[in-house]
Amino acid sequence: MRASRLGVYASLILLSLLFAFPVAWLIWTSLKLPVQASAIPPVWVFEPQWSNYVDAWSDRGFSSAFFNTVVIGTGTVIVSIAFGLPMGYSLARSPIRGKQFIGVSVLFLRMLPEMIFLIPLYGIYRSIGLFDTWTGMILAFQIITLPFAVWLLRGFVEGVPVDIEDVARVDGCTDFQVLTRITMPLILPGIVAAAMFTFVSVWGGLLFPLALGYTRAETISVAIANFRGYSNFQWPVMAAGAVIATIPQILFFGFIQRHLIAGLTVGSVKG
Amino acid sequence: MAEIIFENVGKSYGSTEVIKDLNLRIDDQEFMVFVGPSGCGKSTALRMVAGLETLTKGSLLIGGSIVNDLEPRERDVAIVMQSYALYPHKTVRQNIEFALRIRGTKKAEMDRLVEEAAGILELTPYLDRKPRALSGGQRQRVALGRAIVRRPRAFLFDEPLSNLDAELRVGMRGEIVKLRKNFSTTTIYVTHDQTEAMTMGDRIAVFAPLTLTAGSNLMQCDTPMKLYREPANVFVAQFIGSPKMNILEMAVDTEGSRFVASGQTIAVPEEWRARVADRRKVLVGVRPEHLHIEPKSAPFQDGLAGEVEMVEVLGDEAIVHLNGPGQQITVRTLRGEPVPSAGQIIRLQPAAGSIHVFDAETRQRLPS
Amino acid sequence: MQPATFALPSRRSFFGSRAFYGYLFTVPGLLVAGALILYPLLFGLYVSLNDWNWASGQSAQMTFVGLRNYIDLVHDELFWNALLNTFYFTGAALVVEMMLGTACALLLNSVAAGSAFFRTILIFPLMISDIVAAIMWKMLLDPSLGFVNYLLSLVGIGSINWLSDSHLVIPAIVLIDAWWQTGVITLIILAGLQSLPEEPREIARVDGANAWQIFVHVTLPAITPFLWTAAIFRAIDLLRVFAIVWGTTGGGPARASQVAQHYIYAQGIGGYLHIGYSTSLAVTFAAFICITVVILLGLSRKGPAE
Repeated sequence: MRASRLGVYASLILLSLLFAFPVAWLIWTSLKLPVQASAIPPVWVFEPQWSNYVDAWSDRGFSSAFFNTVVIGTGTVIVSIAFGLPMGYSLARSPIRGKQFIGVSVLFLRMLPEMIFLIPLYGIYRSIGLFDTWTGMILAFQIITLPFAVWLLRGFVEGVPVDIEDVARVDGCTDFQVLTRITMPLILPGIVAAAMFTFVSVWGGLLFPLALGYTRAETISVAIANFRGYSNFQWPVMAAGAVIATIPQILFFGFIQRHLIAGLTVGSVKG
Repeated sequence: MAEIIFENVGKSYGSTEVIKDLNLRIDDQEFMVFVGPSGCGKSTALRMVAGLETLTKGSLLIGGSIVNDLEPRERDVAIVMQSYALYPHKTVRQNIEFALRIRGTKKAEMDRLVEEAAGILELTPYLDRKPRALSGGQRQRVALGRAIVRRPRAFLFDEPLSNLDAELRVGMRGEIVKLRKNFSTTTIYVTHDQTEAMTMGDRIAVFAPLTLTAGSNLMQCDTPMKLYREPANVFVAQFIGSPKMNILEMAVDTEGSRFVASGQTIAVPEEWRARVADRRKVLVGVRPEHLHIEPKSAPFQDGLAGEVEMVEVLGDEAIVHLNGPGQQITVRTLRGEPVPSAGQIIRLQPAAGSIHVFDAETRQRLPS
Repeated sequence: MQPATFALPSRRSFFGSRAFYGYLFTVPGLLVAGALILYPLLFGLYVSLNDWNWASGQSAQMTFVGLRNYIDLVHDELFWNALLNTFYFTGAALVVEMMLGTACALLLNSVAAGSAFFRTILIFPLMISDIVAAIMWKMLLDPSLGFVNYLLSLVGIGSINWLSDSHLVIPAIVLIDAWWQTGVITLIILAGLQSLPEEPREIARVDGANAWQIFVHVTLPAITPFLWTAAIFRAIDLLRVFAIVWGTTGGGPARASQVAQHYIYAQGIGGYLHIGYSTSLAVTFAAFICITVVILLGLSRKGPAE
């Protein structure tokens, strides 16, 4: 069995190299001089040009796009959680047939091409002046973030034993107080996970700001997209910009992983 | 004044009826036990008092006012659940004071009441711990503390001891009885364990699932002794007392002086003569502990006889299973009585005054 | 000595009842969903029945034309070209990613030590957004200066025009997407493998089957539901592809890589501003996706019962 084990590890190492090398190359390129970046054969030893990152940051509209995305992302999270948590809670606790519906509708909405929302929304937004506004983007993103948040949070609420909420009601809580003082603290990791998922959707979403934004609501994805017209002399700056754009996403994914696991074990605290 | 009254109460989930025609009155300061097998509706009835279930029919009154539409928080009751349902993210202190905090009680007052409750329940050293750091018994006491701290009009217990192991259970039972001395609050206590019911309740309400009965689920509501001595129907007769009461299908002879089955006879006791006079078939009940095994030398008279199938010896007592007239009979020997062995034929005589007679169709005790 | 005073409310009020909170919790969310999901969809459906051209100015008139847009799109060669490209891309990517993802899952499942480390690396590309992946690969696949062609040249393969050869462009994008999203398949299949009981495989081994036979006759049938789940999830996302293509080739060369959402975008808000017509394209494309999903679901149910 020795040989096959070796084969497995060899394959894994090979695959890892294949999956890892493009990103390694990206970081590598981001630290080169333009003439080094586009040199064939590649330049292996060089002095890292950290100034590329400064250049990328001060590239036309990049920093404001970054800032926009933070604002829009935060706003989207706030709206999705504020509206989605009570809905998820209702769905988890109420005995009505609405239960299956949310799962099915989340899947159905995910199937539809974004354009089928974005083109009509473009028309609507231009008429009511929401085009290229932060508010407009935050509301538009709800199309993909709200149903998912409701579905995810509903799952977490179901992990909280109903007995605890019943006792809280007898102790004197209104439904609102049960939600805020009892359920919410117990599903906090789940709320954080939902928030992160939402934020990442905004961060990496291209079509929405492309369709419904222009300058004031330009997000980081659009800023990166603007790189596609750059020449190879600007590869280092492009790579640096791409790295800047990606770091927050990777951080958030790390967060999600940790909190998702924590959130799934909430229901196991009996007593 | 906190008497609780069920008036023609009914409860259905969709087309499934769970509670039917429930009429019951729990007096102020009474400790009432709801007992019955699973699915009989006792927990549902309790939750109705708490406001956690709605009524499909009828009225529920607490302290004289109809509470059907009141939210749980508006009823001034406290509930202790089988799963304890402590708030996992709060300390013991915060768990107990929560109800007071919601009502806006001042901090000093809250602390005083919490410390008082903790003292009574011996929880003072644990006040700053979280539930996951407590044992099962401690958690249950926190649940009790939560209930007593605000002096509600009524305590509602939903099988609070079922999750504890046997030893702990006996101890906790004592705790609850002790609490009774401090707080003479109206209490409804739900359990499926008849020992708990018999030892703790002022009165016991025996419930049966609607699949077993045509009318209301409430089979009988009486003091423990009356339930034991005068069960109103076969269900109650067999639910109370372990091993179960023997129920024999017997016919009444033409003179009305003997019960007959498969050639065996039991003399009809004086107090029952009038009641069985016009009857053909009846159900005769006699508890295992009330059947004496006749010594072989006794002259033949009325009595039951059969071959011993199995004997379970439990120290000083034994439970004898034998094949009686048409069915199995169980006998419990008393201390000192000789224990028969399997295969033996033995004769039994019911003790004086230990016969119960029920109508063969309605299964109700024959009225006097 | 009573603690806080307790007063029974004198009359029944709606505020504070369970029904009240039921509405409070759900109505705002439903309003948002209605306004942002349902309304645009219905409005779009209506718009697709109109001729509404914004090219002449924002306040263009909407003229009702019934099904004319839909009739026009039947004759629209460019639309069908885009649709064909999309299905070609989806099919090819699905095959590649399913095979690669399953292989990765099997490899990860068969090692204990270091599996978490390898898994993180294989999953890693998922954490990058589509447009970043597109920009990155556009640089990597540059015919003369790209790193990929340099690597190939080391083994004697000449320069390949990945993104400018109309025959190679879609395979190239399949490659990019495979790098980017195979992790999704890997995760799903891995979860499936880890949920399987050990016994059937052990029994087969005792019976004398070799690794390949075990895989085909024991493992494969057991993970079939997961394979279908992964395939359908992936197919839904592949059909809706946009950034991966638009970011690298912009639809070229000569629309050889123009996919459906890109064409719809270009007809609508991305260029021509034929709002009415592009909406009808979007509706039609959505219908195609739904039909595809229904077919896939049907096939997944009808699998052989082993």
